[in-house]
Amino acid sequence: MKKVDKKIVAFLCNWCSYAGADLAGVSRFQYPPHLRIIRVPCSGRVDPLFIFTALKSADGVLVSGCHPGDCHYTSGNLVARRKFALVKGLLEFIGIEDGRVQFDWISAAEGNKFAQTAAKVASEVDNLPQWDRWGEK
Amino acid sequence: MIVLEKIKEKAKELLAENKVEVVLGFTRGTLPGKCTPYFARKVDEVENFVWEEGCNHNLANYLTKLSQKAAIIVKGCDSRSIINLIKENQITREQVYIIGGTCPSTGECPDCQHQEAVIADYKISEGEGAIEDSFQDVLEFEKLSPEARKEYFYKEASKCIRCYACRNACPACYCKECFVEENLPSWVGKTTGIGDNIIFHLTRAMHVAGRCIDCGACVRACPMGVNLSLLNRKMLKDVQEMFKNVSGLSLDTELALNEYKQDDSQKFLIGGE
Amino acid sequence: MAKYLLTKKDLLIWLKKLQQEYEVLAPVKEKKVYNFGHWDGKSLPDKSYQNTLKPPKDLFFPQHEILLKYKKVKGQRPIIKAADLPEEKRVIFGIRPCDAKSLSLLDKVFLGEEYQDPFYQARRLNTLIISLVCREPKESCFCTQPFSVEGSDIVLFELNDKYLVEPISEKGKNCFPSASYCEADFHIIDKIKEIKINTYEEIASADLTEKLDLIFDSPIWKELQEKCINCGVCSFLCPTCHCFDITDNQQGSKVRNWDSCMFSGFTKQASGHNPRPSGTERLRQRVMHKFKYFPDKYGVVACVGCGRCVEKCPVNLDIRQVLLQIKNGGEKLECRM
Repeated sequence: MKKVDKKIVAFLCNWCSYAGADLAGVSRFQYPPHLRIIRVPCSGRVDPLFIFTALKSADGVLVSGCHPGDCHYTSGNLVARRKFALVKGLLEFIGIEDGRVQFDWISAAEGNKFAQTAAKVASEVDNLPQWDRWGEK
Repeated sequence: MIVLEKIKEKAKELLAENKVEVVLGFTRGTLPGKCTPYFARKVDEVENFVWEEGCNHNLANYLTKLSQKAAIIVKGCDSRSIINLIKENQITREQVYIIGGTCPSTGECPDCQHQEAVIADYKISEGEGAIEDSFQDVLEFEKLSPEARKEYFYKEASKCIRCYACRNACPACYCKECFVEENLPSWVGKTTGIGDNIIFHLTRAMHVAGRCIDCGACVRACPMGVNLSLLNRKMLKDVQEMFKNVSGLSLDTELALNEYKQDDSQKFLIGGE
Repeated sequence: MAKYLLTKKDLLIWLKKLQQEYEVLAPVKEKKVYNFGHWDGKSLPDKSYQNTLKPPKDLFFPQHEILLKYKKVKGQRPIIKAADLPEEKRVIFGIRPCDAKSLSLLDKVFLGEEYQDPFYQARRLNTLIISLVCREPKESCFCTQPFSVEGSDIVLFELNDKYLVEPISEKGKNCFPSASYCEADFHIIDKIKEIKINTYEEIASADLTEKLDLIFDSPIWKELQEKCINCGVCSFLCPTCHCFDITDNQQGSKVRNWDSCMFSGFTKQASGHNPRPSGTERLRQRVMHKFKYFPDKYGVVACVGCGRCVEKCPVNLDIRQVLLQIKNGGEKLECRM
């Protein structure tokens, strides 16, 4: 049987994680092809609605921004941090698997960490049961 | 009874002395046990006010739409909503005269912790102080298996007919244009398909997280009996536990999602902490 | 017209027989509320059944319906495919006469002279309506014709443990094996009179329509709508409200969804201008559409008095009170019906 690759939407902040992904690329670090990257100005821009909507057509979501203290806008990721903590709790509460939606901080210098994270998230999503895309599939 | 007399007396005084143009309260509704919001603009209209079981709509909802100086008769939840509206610059403290009482209609709200108005210009009754919320319902639900929780939530969401009564009855939902109405781009599908309903309900819960005061107006407004309080109270519990924040109690503290601390929990990250 | 007397057992046998050919929908109870659902083949609505929470309109005009699908293939003309017409043959059993009447009102819109909606039409043609007359009105009901047969193919009266069956339409007559049952004599038919009838005065009368003609610009609307929170409960639970919005979705479908004149987006134009900017204009539109524009066009008010809006309005904005207030020339009525 042909294995169908699962899709993961990755919201990456322009200043750190997106540059980290870029570095992973130019450094030729390999990672699985699951990720569909969406560049956002800041992890603070990631409305929970984006995450919920992404799950309508993808099997997983990764959100990544700058490390606390490194935000290009000083505190965007710190405000987002509280929001994400609630989102994670909410999704778990309604019975969505822990690995389905994941969060991390990855800096522009961490190309290697980006590749490792992408691989880890991809393998976790692969091992989860088939996602029902909010009951529409 | 005496409480109602005090309300009427104060309302008449405010109107007669032109201190306010309108007094918001309740009058008896057209169905047994139901009360309905009432706007008294003349002194003799004050006689129509009631203060009894059934006075449970959150009246703070109307303040953002009124341009006149208003007095409002509040119970615990309305007063907490007013605090949040002032903090979010939706109304000013000067614009509203608060007549505060103890909720006469507690039958439907088993988890209510603040029956008494927490902010008032004139207090008409003293009730019991705040009660600690044990979040028993949330804890019970968390004990279920993930599959059972998911099944329950999907079933609740599928009941929704997207009439948006929950949103419109909520004082915290004051956006001029809600995300469900925006169509360039369309943020959420307009169908009642399970996916669109789930996205709507999750986003709604997130939008009011940290601001919701658990007044239950959305639950009572829902014609389909969707268990909206489950998500609301989960958010309430998390906000309380993670950020040590209970909204709508004081004008001096920030709302949970409007601030941050350097040492906020990062357990949600990959690898946790 | 001939009425036949059936025992509960007879009724069940007949419905079972219909079930062989039709999908039989009946009021199904779940957590204290009834809604139309698949009939289990054995139970009949008990005394707690007054009416369904949702009106039956979504069985004919679903809240969300795909009209056509399109697909773009590079280098070719786009492929457009109309959605298949519904073919399922159905019986709706236990519908209340007010709701059956609402279907005849929807027919005027969706099967009128100007336009026939193929989806609605297919569902109407494939469905047999067996209505069940109420035993007694609800607190919130204000229908004035509890025995109305309009919109029904067959009407049933509950008499203690027996049922009086009266086939109305040709379709109904063909589906009811009248030869197998006895015609009821007048003693029994007389018992219908024991069914409690609503004493609600007729509010939607001709003078109301005339009055509405004169008050379009009246300040009364502002006063009436003051407590309205502009949600869509009244219109979505109304058996006759039928406004919709057609949009495209990202999967290449044209979709028709219910819409409500209570929402700000209902009249918002592409420029951003909104001709009905506030609740005042929106409530006026809803009342006017039901009691003025609809009667002007079709000769009958678009309200059957089912009382769902009265019962479920979050702020108890009672349409009966609104109409009485309009009739009394805007004088504020001091509560209570």
